[in-house]
Amino acid sequence: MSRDRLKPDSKQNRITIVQFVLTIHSMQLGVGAISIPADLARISGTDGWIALIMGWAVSVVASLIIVQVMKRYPKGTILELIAHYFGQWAGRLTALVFVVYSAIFAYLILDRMVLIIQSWIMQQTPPYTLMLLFIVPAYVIVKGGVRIIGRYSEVVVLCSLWMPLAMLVLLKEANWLHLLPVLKEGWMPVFKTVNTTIITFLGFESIYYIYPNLDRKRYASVGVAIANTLTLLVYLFLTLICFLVYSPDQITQFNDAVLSVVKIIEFRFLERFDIVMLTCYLLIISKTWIPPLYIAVYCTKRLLFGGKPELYLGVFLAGMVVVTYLWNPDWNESVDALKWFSNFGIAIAYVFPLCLWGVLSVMLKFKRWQT
Amino acid sequence: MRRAAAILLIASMLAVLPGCKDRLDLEDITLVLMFGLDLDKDNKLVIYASSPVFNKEAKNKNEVTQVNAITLRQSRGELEARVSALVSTGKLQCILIGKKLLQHPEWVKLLDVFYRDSKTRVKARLVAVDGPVADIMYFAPPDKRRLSLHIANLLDTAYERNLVEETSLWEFHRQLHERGRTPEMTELRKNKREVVADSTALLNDDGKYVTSIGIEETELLQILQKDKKSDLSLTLVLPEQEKAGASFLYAGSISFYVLDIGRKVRTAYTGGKFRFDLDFDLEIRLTERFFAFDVLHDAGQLEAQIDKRLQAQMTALIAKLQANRMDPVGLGLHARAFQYAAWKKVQDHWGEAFGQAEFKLRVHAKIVDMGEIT
Repeated sequence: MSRDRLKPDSKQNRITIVQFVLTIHSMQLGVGAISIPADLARISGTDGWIALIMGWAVSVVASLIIVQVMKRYPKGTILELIAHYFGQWAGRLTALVFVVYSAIFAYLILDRMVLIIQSWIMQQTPPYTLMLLFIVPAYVIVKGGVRIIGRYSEVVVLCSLWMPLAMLVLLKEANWLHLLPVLKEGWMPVFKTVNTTIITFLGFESIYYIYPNLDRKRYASVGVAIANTLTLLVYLFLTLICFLVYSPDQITQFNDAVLSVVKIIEFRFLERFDIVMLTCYLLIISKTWIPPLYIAVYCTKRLLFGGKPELYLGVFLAGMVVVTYLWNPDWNESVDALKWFSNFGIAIAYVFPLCLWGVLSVMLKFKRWQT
Repeated sequence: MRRAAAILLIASMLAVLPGCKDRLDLEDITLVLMFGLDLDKDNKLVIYASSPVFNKEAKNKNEVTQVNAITLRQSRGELEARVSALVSTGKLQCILIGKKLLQHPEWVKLLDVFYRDSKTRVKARLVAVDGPVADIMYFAPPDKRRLSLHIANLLDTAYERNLVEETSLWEFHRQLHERGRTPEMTELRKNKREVVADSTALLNDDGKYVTSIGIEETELLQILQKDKKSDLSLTLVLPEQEKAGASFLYAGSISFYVLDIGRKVRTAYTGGKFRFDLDFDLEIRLTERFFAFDVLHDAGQLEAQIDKRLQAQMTALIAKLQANRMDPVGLGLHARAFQYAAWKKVQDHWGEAFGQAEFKLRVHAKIVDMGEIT
């Protein structure tokens, strides 16, 4: 990619508000969608969907705070913003943190995606072989910069609009009595679930890096709200479908509840619909880990004073395959790693912007920092 | 130089792809369409597998094998040592289970492989068999197609006409793990000439076989469940219209389609007992009547006689279910939804609470069509 590709405010890197919304939404909606109904049911039974709405509210607030922070330095990403207000070394430290964060994010999601394929379709094939299949497309997309990622998100969202429609077929198996009584054990279990749901909204931290590329910045706040709402609607839809179809005592036994339920969709001309769904769902998962990969490359370049981004990208992708070849994480390790990582995510996406916003608000009260 | 490196890289990646070990050619697959599970005379597990043979040289178009095994997955190896190719359950149609096996509640553990291994078709039908499973597995009627496909079609169409209940593997899992209802499945038997699907096996909370109900009772059960598929045709003999006549003819016979079922369930909990008020509004269309009646003017009178008869039969069915502590209607879901506090106390032994519940049942039939002749 040319140097300009990574310059956030250069003209050829501008993204429209739709691309902005869909990129954020894409990074939020990923592997979590497959397991979230059962995860919620394990904590608060069929009331878990209420916690989704609470998690959404929290993530909207956090996204709006990030937008407020980014407004302080609209020309650059979070790295330039920090460098501007706190000095070069603070900027470099932030870059380092984000390299680690994004690289782990991208790796864990890619690895989980490969594990899902292995578990559902190709049980005898080693994960690193499957991973190789996704390396080339990821390379091409990330190389294109933010605009290409934005367009990719648009295309994939458009291509996957049929999936919720196909899942509506399941409503003929639905039993609405499963949802009653609402709040059967009171509010406590629901509050306990909120922790799980705010993790599923992780991904809006991409605003840190795509905000400067946004064409019309005054729509940014509306945009992040729409992106979060879109994600909420998808999660609510999947969760309610699963709660209606599975019996409340049954759903807790399933790991990938959404895939298992799709297995019962059959047409006269097509059986094993879950395989079709899963294959198409891979596209949706791919747009979850491609943006963080871009962020990792971007931050590496900042950290190492330039150099060729393609090289870093290649190293990251090759590194992922090598790590999988050497470590080969199993399902339990993947689950544990993601659980550990979600704490990191909460710090980066929820705590960090709040602190930064507080510090900046106080700082800018004083004249000497107001440039 | 760079292009050469790129080509080399892509070529080396392609070279890894044959490492994909999941390739399976169609010629190397034996598609098991029907499994049979039963106990032999020493109470050891026997697994039968029936699969089609696509070969011009084979005289029989169906291959049936039986093995002794500890589990179903272990039986796969034993089967593969005998059948033409590699066993695949992706097209599984039916799983026949002998009643002798169904008497042991532990039998449900055998199904674990179907839910755990993502390669099985979970829409395969579960079927109870009255009598030895081997009789059906090895049965090859000359006037029918492959038995496995014949049975699948037989069950589907019988279910479509509401004659039997049909339960897929997935549906069974849901019923078994729903504390508010008990599972059910189609029951097959074989007489001298054919395979008959004319009853429904009812299981208790643990999945143990308890009793069976016939076609008429299954139809009523489906009204109770509000689970009508396509044509639901009932035939009643009204005692009010009975007259002494030829011994084979019941003069009080009347048949009708139930076009629409309206069900209202009211759930209450008083005096330590659940109480269900079930109200049914049935729209019916007469299709057969042996006695003279002026439906145009006295429809209400006929409706009252039908109501009374249906009410008596449905009450008897509920009493039978209660006596056996089984709730295939799923009234436990209503108890959970509307009387949660009371439900929580009995949720782990709902069958018992269902058995002690009080019922009030009302049926209101409405003749919307008397047919072509008066």
